Amino acid sequence: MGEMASNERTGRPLNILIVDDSAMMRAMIKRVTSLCGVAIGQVFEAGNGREAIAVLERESVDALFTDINMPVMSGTELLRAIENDGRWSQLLRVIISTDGSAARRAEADDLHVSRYVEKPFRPEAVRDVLSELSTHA
Amino acid sequence: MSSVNSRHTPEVGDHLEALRDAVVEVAESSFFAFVDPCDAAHFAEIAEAVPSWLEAAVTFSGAFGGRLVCGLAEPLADELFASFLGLAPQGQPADVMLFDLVGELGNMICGSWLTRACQRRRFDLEHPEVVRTLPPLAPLDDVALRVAVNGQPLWIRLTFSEE
Repeated sequence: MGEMASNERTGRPLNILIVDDSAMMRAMIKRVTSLCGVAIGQVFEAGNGREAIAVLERESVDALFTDINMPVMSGTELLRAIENDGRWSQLLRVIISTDGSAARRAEADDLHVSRYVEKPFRPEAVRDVLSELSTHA
Repeated sequence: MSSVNSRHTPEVGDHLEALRDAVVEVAESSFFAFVDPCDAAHFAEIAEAVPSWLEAAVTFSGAFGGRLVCGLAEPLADELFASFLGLAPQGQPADVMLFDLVGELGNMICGSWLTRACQRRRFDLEHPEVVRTLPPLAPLDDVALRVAVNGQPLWIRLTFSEE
């Protein structure tokens, strides 16, 4: 991996929230973030959209990585809630989902999603997204 | 690969190529595993000594609905667990983690296949259900796909709901 990239705007590491109903997928994404060469601060986890909102309510998060199909509250519902709440307007939003359909991608555009990563993905895909986000955060 | 543009119940046979491509993509991208085609005789041979199986069932809806079940030898699941998390092989993981991983495997295969099959149209997947089964393995006459992943057996059964 290359040198640590910095968060160019704030100069501090990115705080990340990973939302997926699979604990193994969250662990895998978390591991990739630790190896990607981007300065990462805290990594928070949530098993569905409702848990994610609870984390956002109490923590400072720069970037959100969310699955779509989840029980209790889906990723789409989560992104819609974020869109409707002015407190999180600066939050960088990334979807990591098995659904790569054009319809779903168009829906993501409407919800101001910065990047869309299809599962299965190679670790480099998450690394590249984080590198890009670190220059825009 | 054929696309399905009507509301008629799709035929499993029209989806075999996309299903095979999905299994290969998931195995290679997420698990650094190799997939080889497997005829019924060879599959029976490598399945004979399997001590237990794990099956992940994923119900899908959208352009069309149905259920995909992915069954694999438990030793293969242990191996995929280690490679997914970048761990050295370390015996048998806890059931809760292993079942989560097998569910995610089924979820990714189903999603990867549906992205090919549905093309522009969105779909939804329900949370996977995972069970362990012991030999003898139920007859696989109706499975859509039999393959060897790193030399170990994996099968996919696909059923569509009536439109």
